[in-house]
Amino acid sequence: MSGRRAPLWKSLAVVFATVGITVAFIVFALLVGPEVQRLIVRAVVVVLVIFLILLFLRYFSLLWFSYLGHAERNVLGLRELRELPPVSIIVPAYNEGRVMERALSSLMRLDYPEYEVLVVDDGSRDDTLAIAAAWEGQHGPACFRVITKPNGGKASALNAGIRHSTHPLILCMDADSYLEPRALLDAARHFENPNVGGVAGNVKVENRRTLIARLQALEYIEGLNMPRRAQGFIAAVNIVPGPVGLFRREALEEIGGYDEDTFAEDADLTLKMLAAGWRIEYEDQAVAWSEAPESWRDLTQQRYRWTRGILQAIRKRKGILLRPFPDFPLWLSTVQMGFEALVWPALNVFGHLFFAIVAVLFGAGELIVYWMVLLTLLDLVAALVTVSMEEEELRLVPVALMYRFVFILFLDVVKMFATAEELFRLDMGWGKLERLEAPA
Amino acid sequence: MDVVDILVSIVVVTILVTIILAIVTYVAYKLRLSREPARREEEEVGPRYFVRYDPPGAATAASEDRLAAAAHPVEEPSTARPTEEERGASDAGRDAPA
Repeated sequence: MSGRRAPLWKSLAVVFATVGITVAFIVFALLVGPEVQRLIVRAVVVVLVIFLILLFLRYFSLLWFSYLGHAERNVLGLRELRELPPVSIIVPAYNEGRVMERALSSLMRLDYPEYEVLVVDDGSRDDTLAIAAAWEGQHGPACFRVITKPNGGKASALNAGIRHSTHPLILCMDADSYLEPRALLDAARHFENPNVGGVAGNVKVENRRTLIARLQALEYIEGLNMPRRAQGFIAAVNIVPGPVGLFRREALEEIGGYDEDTFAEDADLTLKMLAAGWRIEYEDQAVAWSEAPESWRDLTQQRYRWTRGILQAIRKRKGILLRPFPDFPLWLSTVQMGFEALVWPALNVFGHLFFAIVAVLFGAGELIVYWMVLLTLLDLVAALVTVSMEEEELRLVPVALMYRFVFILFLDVVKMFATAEELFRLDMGWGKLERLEAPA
Repeated sequence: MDVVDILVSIVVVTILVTIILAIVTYVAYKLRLSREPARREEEEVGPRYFVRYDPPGAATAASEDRLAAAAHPVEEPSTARPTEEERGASDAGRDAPA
């Protein structure tokens, strides 16, 4: 990716055009005659009913498959590997001096017989390299190595790490994350099946001091891990998350490693691996703790990049969208990603806007309140189920009251603008989130 | 004003305020992004006027390592586990601004 940013006026033009078209439509709908008004309202109601049905179908199918995945994991357990293959852990780092020490400390404590840790300094301008270099050498079962290269982006750092790694399994992680001691052991067991090319781990939010961080903690459990567990049940996880993903070297080499032309290298790699016929599974015990943005601006920046990156990954494989067979899991994963990035946010935002307008202008407030209450109850139930499944903090459940009407709505507005910018192919930069001070 | 009316008001205000705040945050993010200095061209394409010198015999090393070694001259790292003093120095440096 070029890393250049689009001029400000282009981004603002996208925002004003979107807002302008919406306002113009509302004004038009209010000014036209009652017959046209009824027609518009009916059309919108039809769309919203479809939206509602899809929402319920999505929720219940995800909950059901997620439950099946959870039950399968708990009842059948994981196969024991006859021998545990050595693992190379790659930690790409760019200006991660503040959090490097903690990530490397966690890697020293992994419950695994043999592994190497490769820190790839991607041309950092802070003390990342110095901190990593101090760790070089053998630490128990782990051999720590550091390589450094000119700055080229996360995908290029990961590729450099893969080239320098030596073991048959490769774990890619982020420098701002740290792993639970059993993460590697539980994820590695999936590779007993020779068709498994990658295993997605379970990313959890570590910092839960503020409301925005707690909302993200719930989102990771309910909105990201639940779908991943459901996808894992059909072995078609569509994003192996950046903070923890274990891969078979053979699979990575077959697909040529990470492409450097998207801003969601994890989604892109996963789709490539699915397209090459590898199974991607999910392991909820392979836990990586990650730092969530604690300001709305950083959250906006993160989701903007995720949305555009995912759309870039889908755009590279748009032909798949029209070919459900012979590779149905790949088609399903791609369609789901596209739908949730492209269609769902706009439907959600305009649906809510429509409800607000209808409530104010047409006196249908009572119906809308019941609808909202119903959805909030659904969110609370889903939160309770998923939080229980992961044996997480129950105090996250009440946060579900704000989940849909504030948090998801906010994110969907950001995603909508990011989608519009991607459709117009405006340039974008990577952006670097503000790091919090890492606890010792 | 009964309970349903109050709930309707809360729902409508929440929806509208959230959408407006999201738009404002997005615009603010874009404004702030535009004020950050763009990456200098030489950082992306490498130095413009100088050709990096590769000493003979280094050809077997990975090119990225050689480039990096020139860009980041680092002391030969110790293979032993870092001492307490070294770890302390790293900790002190950890909170330095990035």
